[in-house]
Amino acid sequence: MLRLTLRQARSTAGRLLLAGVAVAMGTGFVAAVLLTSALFTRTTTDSVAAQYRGADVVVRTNGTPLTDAEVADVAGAPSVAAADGRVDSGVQLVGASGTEYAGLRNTTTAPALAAADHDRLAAGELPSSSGQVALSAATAQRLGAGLGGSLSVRTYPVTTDLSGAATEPVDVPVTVVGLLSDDTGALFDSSGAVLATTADALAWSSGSYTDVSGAPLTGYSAVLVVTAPGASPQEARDAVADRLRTAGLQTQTGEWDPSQGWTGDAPPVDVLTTQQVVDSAVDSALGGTRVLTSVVLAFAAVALFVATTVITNTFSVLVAQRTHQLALLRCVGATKRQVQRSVLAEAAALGVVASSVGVLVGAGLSTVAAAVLAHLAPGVPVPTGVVLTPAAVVAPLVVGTGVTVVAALAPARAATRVSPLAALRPAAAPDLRTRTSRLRLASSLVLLLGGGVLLVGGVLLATGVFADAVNGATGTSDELAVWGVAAAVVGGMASFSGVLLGAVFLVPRAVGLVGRLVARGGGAPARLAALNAVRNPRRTASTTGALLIGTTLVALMVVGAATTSRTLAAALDRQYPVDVQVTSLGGPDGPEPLAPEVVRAATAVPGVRAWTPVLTASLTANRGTTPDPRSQTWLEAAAASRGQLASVLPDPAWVAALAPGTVVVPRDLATSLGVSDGDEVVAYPSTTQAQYDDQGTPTGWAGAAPQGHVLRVAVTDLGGYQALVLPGDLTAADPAATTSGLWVHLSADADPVAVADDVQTAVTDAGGTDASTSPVAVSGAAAERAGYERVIDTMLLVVVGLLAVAVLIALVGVANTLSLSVIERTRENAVLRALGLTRGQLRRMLALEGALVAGVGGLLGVVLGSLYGWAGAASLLGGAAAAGGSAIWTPELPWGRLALLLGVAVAAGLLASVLPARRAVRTPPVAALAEQ
Amino acid sequence: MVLAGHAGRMTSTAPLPESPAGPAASAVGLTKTYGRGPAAVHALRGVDVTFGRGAFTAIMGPSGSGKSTLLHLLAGLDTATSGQVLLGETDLTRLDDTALTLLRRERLGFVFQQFNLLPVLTAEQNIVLPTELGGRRGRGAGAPLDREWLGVLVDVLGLRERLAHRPSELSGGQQQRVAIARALVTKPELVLADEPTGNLDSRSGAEVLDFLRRSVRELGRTVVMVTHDAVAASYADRVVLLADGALAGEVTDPTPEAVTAALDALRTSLPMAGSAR
Ligand SMILES: Nc1ncnc2c1ncn2[C@@H]1O[C@H](COP(=O)(O)OP(=O)(O)OP(=O)(O)O)[C@@H](O)[C@H]1O
Ligand SMILES: [Mg+2]
Repeated sequence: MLRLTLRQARSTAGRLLLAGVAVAMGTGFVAAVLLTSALFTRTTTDSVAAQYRGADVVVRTNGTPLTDAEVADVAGAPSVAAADGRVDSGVQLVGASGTEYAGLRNTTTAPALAAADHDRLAAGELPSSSGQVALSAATAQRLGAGLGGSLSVRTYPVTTDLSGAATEPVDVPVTVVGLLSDDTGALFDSSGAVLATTADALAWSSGSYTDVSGAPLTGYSAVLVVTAPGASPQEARDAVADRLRTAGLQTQTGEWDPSQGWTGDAPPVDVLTTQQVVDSAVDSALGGTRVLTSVVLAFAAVALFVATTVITNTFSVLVAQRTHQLALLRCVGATKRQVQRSVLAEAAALGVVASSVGVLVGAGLSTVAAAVLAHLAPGVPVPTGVVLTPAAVVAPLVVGTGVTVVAALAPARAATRVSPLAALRPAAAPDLRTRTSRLRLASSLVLLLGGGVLLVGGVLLATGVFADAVNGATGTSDELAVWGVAAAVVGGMASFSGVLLGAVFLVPRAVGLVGRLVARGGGAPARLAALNAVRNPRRTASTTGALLIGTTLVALMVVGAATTSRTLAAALDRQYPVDVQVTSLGGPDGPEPLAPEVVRAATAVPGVRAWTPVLTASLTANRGTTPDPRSQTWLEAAAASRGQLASVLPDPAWVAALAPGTVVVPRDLATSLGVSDGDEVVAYPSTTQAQYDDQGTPTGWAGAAPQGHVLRVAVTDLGGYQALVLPGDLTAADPAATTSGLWVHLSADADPVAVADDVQTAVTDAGGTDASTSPVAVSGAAAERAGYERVIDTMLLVVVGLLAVAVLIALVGVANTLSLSVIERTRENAVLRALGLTRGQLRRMLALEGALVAGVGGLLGVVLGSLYGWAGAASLLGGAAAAGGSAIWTPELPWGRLALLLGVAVAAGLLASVLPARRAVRTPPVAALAEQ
Repeated sequence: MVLAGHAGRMTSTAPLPESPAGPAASAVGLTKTYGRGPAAVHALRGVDVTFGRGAFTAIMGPSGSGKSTLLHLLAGLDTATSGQVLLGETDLTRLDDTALTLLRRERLGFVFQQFNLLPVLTAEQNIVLPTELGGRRGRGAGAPLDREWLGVLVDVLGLRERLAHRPSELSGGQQQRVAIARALVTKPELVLADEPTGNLDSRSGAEVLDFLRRSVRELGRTVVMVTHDAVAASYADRVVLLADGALAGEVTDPTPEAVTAALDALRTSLPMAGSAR
């Protein structure tokens, strides 16, 4: 029986090829993730371990540096052969061609520890007396100092003089006696770029630690300990800890552990074995990587799930095509079990072969990734080659094979469910009105509706629609938002499961509908393509379902990202209504106007479309018509003509109400001031001093009561916290108002980050170094908004790239199903050819079939994904959504990208038909007719 | 008797071909060899045969004598090893695949022994399929569907009640009648039928044969039919006998007895050729 299975598998190897490709892609993904993660773990471990090479135990301080006496204590502890103080600090190096800040470390004297230093020496020797340094070759080259050359070490002596007088740096001349190779550990070990004698290192790093009064403390940041022969690192560690404790130091020998007597954040001294140090360093360094690895593995799981669908489908089709053969086997006496086992054995063989290929491909990918990374970031020491950990090899193999066998279980059972004689009769179309089908339909609807309700409710909850109703306050809206997001996520997943479960009802109908539309203009071949596409509803549904998963997720990400960035942009618009704001910060004597040359320079930058100087003043105001020190609030105001303001604001309607005697107040500011549209406020200079009683409560005016200028409030959608008035009103309120601001509006096609940078540069250059000019700040929404967009775009790119694997696998599935269907329909296609269907028409017919299946999958995915993406963005951005106003309620649909997604699906469907069509048109009609 | 009511309409709707000059189809020195070397099978060895326009010809011969092969070559479904196949003035052996396909679509009708209907289409859709293969526009759009002619075919073949059914819901005889309607719907110059009655009972078989004969007599169609049945062959104007890939005589104005006698003669002269049914 096994031999028969193998013979069968070999004869259908071609048919299994695409299923194998799907498995290989999924396992390759997993393998690449695991291998890359292993690679980074190894790199980190190596570089951390390199720092403490030779040491068995490390004593590290978390506060006050360790003294020579303490080092001697450690050295004197039992089980300790040698102990050496380690200075880990940094220095400013000054060379002929530049200065550079480099890590500083002392050379070691213990022979067991010195080997590490010697190994790093590329040329020359290690520093042995004061004034000598060894430094990395690259640093030496950048500074323009060769072996034997001289440099200065710039130190900043810390004085106890607290008068605030600046300490003058002192340059100490040194000679370069050695060059270090810098290939190892540069990533995490920043301490090794400069080596100096212990005395020099201590002297130069004296600024690193100060006592409470600011007096410098000299000492070691760590002590490296070599154990005595016969003693374990643990014994030495405990002995050292005991010795230090008796010397009066709080120590700890492991994780933070209150039972060891220390209850603060961290004890002053850690005594750890080197292994402990490496483990914890790797843990903290890779904490982020681990999260990343699990996120990426989640995408790999999606890809594998899609692959499982594809494989299940393949085996169902294969079994269906082989029903005849299997039934014959059953007729001549093969048991059910034998038939099932033959199908499963075939799956297992496929799984093993395909997963092995996948692991190889994954290893190749991670090697390429490492190489690309090394190329892009030459400073990062990425080891070449892959680190083959058992987990990274075995896990994908097991997962890949397991997934394949599991995928074949249902088809294997189906292979024997029918009686041998029934299987020999031609198969009728599957009945979708059976009891299990009804059950499926019912549960699909329950999931869909229940999930949908949960999703909508969650979104509403998260965006704070119910906040007022539930709490009457917005205080706990955060908590509600978390629940809302959770409900939305669960609802989304449930409803999508409903869609997948109900795909067998939904998809064929959708394909049929679209097919009929397409067939209307295409004659018989188009009609046949449409009919063939839904000929086997289950097959069509699972093929499309696989694609649906990928396209839905991609569309979700695309729409979610677009909606998020639009909402954030709206929020930013409200926060910073002006693209770029150049502001004179004023001198010690109060506000100063912007220098004309600064204005000229800033407005000459290309990409600036409109600009206006604004008069600004810090006012004090209170409601009513007379100044009242008891209810006064701070009011920042800016002024320019209405036309000028309209030209630099995104929405001119914001300043439409601006008129003499009116102050335009941003909505948020109005809320915090407690004023509303139509209220009257009186404004006066903020320099007006109030008089306070003992409790600090204002009672009256320190001098003469201010005159005050009465303004009528117009609340608009303007963002920010700056009120707008006309220049006349502003000078009336505060005669000291100056033209200290410049508001700039950028061209729509300008790169906001670049232009903002250019403005900053222009302003800096124009301001010069003259200390008399007041400092000028450049701020604004444009650069920040562009920054957000860039982050979102990058994330989108990465996520879509990861999801692309799942989409690709699903498309392989489309090709697979189509090829198998074409094989199944060899005879029919031959009849069509005999009746007068040209080769081109046959090709087009198959292409249309592929495009229909893929296109409908893509279309459903785009629609569903857009809904989910919008809902996701709305619920996650609950808070920001409020800041962005109503922006969240209209989904941002990036039509171009969605059309591209759909286009890719349709094009892939067309492409998927190429190979099957080749086969179909190559077979001469007679040969195909002869085939039974 | 079945046809009586429709006879008038049949003549009126299907005009006779204009110039009956020359034969409808002929084979000249036609050979077909499968495989090569010692394993070569000579299915046809230099067959010269002419099929007169407006004639009903039957091809008979023992199993494996090359009947189906000859029919496939006449239909342009397969390529000859050497020799020529002429349909009217057209040499089929010189046409490329597309031209052959269009020729099959427009000028030929083929009835298969195994019906070969498309399972996804209804009976009616199967019948009109050849007229729709051309699509709405483009090359070889072919003659538009003649609705009246379709009605005649459907009534004569007794398919009126079955038009909306799919092949899986039809009996073998009904399926074959649908296949015949499909072969005739484009009013082709030449209709080729490979054992069209092989899967039918004698009554349905007789109806089918009667219809084929009427379409020759009254519509001027040319029909070539392969059969193993002497009674079926007697519906034809002429019976061509094939044995071992070569022509082995013919019977004009055949009767079942004459055909049986000719076949018996063939069998005695070729004792190795196996048994004819
Ligand atoms: N594709 C093929 N490859 C090899 N030999 C073939 C092929 N098709 C037919 N033959 C051989 O050619 C010969 C003629 O076959 P053909 O099908 O024309 O016979 P036939 O007269 O139609 O027989 P039957 O009455 O049984 O249908 C046979 O010997 C057959 O084995
Ligand atoms: Mg035959």
